[in-house]
Amino acid sequence: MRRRSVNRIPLLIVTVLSCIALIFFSGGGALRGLEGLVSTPLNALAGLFSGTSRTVASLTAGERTYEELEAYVADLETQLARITTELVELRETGADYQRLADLVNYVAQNQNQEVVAADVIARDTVRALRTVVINRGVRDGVRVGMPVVTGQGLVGRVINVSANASRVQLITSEFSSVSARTQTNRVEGAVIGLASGALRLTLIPQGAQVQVGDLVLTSGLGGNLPPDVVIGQVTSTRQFQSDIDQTAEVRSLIDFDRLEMVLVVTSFEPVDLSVFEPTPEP
Amino acid sequence: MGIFYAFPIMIAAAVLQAVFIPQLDLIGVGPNLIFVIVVAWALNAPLPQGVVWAVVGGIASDLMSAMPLGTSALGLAMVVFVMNALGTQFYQLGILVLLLMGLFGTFFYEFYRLAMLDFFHLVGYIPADAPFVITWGSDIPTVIAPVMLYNVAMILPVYVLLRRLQRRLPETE
Repeated sequence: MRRRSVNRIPLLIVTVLSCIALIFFSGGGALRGLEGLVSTPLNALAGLFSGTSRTVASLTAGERTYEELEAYVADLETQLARITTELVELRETGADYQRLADLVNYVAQNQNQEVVAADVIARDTVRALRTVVINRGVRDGVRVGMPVVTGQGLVGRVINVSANASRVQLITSEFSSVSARTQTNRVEGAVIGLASGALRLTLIPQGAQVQVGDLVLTSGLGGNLPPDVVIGQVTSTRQFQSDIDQTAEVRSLIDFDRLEMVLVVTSFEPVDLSVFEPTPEP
Repeated sequence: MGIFYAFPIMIAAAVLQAVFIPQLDLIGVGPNLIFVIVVAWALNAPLPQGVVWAVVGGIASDLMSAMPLGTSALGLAMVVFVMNALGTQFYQLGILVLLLMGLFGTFFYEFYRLAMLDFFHLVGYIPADAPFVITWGSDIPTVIAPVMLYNVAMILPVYVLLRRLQRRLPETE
């Protein structure tokens, strides 16, 4: 630090109070409009760069094939640049095709649902929150609470919407809980996210039969999500006599760290059950 | 003059943090670029300037997150104040202080952010339908410790780059 006499205490008080006021107003939702306005150009920037980052990631991810390519290119030195470029482009196209095929497959299987396809353009700077930003917002018909899926299953729910972008809370978030049931025995429970990014099926009644390999689907209970959307597969179960219920580890088929394209189910509206909640006596 | 650099640099850092760092796929966590830049800049800047960098960086970070605005700004500003207070005691130990700030500052900052997550969940500032519980026993080695190592690894090259920029700035503050 440069040695210069600065009275720290007033600066500290002003900074802390300003930040607390900002947190209070932002957390309470008073700054939602302003935040949406300011984050719009940031989201646009993120969208602009997300394509580039994927290309970089695909280059680093494809080390093995690249080595194979190097051996091939040794015979064809003059074509090195062209072939490398073509390969990267083709790999990207192939990956895009696979993702689109999955999405089209989902749409074909769920023709009663209206969906909007979206690109993932940013991830939460606080990893523990596990949210992503997609490039579809109010203008595209996206609303808070809408489920987000891919061909492999449930991704999460929209928790925040601006004009041209939305924030999606992933099911792997520790803030997420999804009513679920197993496909074979229809055993019900709740899938929660863990700090590690894994999924756990909890609240399974003692004595209920959950088998490794069972598919876990949304149950639709609570009205927050449509029923029968795939969440994942049971990889192990835990049952202690002393516990009220048992738990099972669930592995999603989705690689949430490499999520690029998703579908927002715009025809689904979450049910508001708050009217059935008991109101406290005056 | 250094204050004005905070805006483009921090916005760029926030976009990098949200778009590029997750693509690195580093065991589920990555370096905190915004923290590293704030610490590296504040080490050789006047306190008010360091605080502005912390606030701008924090707000940029929160805009790319579901965290309420100001959360990261408060944490980063606290780090800068602590750095300033400690910096006067260890003036001669530049690089060592930088690395120690990177290590312990990251611990404090990440610990603070997890604690704030818990608090925001309690007061309903973050949309949640699950009982969020911080398991400090597992979160410190799996979430905080790797970020500490990444930040310490990054802080020296970032410091060198920013120091070059700082030397070119006129001494107006």
